Amino acid sequence: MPRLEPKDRYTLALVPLSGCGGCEVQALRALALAPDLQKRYEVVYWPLVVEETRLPDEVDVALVEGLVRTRENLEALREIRRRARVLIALGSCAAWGGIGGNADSFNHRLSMRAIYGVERIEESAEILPRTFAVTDLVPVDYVISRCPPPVEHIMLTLRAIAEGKPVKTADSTVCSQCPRKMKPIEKLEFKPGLPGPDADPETCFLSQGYLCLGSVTTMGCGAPCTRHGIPCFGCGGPHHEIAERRDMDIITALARKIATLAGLDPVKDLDRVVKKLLEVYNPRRFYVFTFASQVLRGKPHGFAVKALVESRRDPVLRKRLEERARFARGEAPPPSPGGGEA
Amino acid sequence: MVKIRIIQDRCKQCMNCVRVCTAFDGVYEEGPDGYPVVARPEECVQCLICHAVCPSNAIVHEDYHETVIINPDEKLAERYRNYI
Ligand code: SF4
Ligand code: SF4
Ligand code: SF4
Ligand code: SF4
Ligand code: SF4
Repeated sequence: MPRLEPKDRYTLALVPLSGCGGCEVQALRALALAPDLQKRYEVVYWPLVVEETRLPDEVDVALVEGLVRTRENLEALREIRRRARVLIALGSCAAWGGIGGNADSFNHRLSMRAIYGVERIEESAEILPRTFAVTDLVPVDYVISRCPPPVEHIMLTLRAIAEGKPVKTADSTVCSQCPRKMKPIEKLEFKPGLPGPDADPETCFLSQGYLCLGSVTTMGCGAPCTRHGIPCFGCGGPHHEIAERRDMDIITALARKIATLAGLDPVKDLDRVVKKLLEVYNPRRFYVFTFASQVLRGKPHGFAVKALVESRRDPVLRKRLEERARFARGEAPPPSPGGGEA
Repeated sequence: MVKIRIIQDRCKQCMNCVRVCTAFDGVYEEGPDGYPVVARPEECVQCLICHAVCPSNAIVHEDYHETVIINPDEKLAERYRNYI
């Protein structure tokens, strides 16, 4: 844990990379709602909040939002790491690549053509051939995960840093905050797509044969999705053991739990359950928020890499982009909206 | 002896721990309140597979046996260099 020398007031910067701005809004709300943090931190750089356009030479605490998509992002990240004493990766994009990491499914030149009708716009940022999570490129002191992270998580992190105390963390999963009742799985069969109105609102999605990433996702959100009838898609990022241990991956950790719920052996029947899962769900369904993460891509069984390769070769995704590119050039009618997928 | 604790706030009452335990007689039993109870902790072989299948990380093994692998320090190792 990096310690700052005791001071009344610390300088704070927020550096937005390629994100959606949602994490920035959460950070702004955290400061707005906590007068004590306003006293302890002076914002010296934050394009949304202050006019300063240059990164400060030195800063005590820097929050970084978004993933690295352009060369400009890469340079800004390296600079802020050099200049910041404490660097916080804010949100799933910075931590794991997040939603934006799914851009790796597409050829970026084709994406440009599909959106702007040209491969490159003069003076626009140079897009890198792949995306990166902030944590993959520079050493990071803290990760505040989730898309977006709850305001309280940002508050208590900034507060603990200002007080020189360790930040409290919990090591459970979303399931522990989910009110749904877990029951044994009667028959190991997975249903594609999302649960419809016929799904039982009080029973765990896994018990009903739907995919839910709650048991492999780090706790902290209060399980709002499963309370409202949507399975967890893992926006909080994988449980820290899955991230830290080389032998664990999202899909295998989940399959072990599912196997045991179904009365199978979590070791002997692991491959069988993984195979069944992948027969029904596209592998990228397990890496929605971690698609670009080198941590997951580096796992020995290579499921995240498989997800990447399958997406890149997916003829449907490619066809949709090509249709869009023709539309952007004015050569075709607007493409039909994309259909759902498992 | 190893101490096993179930954090009830987190427990989903799924009984994965009861189903999976590799001890001959099983360490856990389903309790009357629907939560697992640690009935035979002395049976535990510390395989920790129950941790891997618990959906909410609700199981804690305290004081479990840790093996220390002794490696001589470099100076000591140096003394063995010319033996044999
Ligand atoms: S983590 Fe979510 S809220 Fe934050 S920048 Fe990324 S997409 Fe936006
Ligand atoms: S797997 Fe999903 S639905 Fe089931 S208890 Fe966990 S979070 Fe809730
Ligand atoms: S339930 Fe899952 S997807 Fe929903 S907010 Fe929590 S971690 Fe994110
Ligand atoms: S560590 Fe192994 S033997 Fe011990 S309680 Fe867990 S499953 Fe049973
Ligand atoms: S496996 Fe975990 S959640 Fe399930 S009953 Fe045992 S302690 Fe509770």
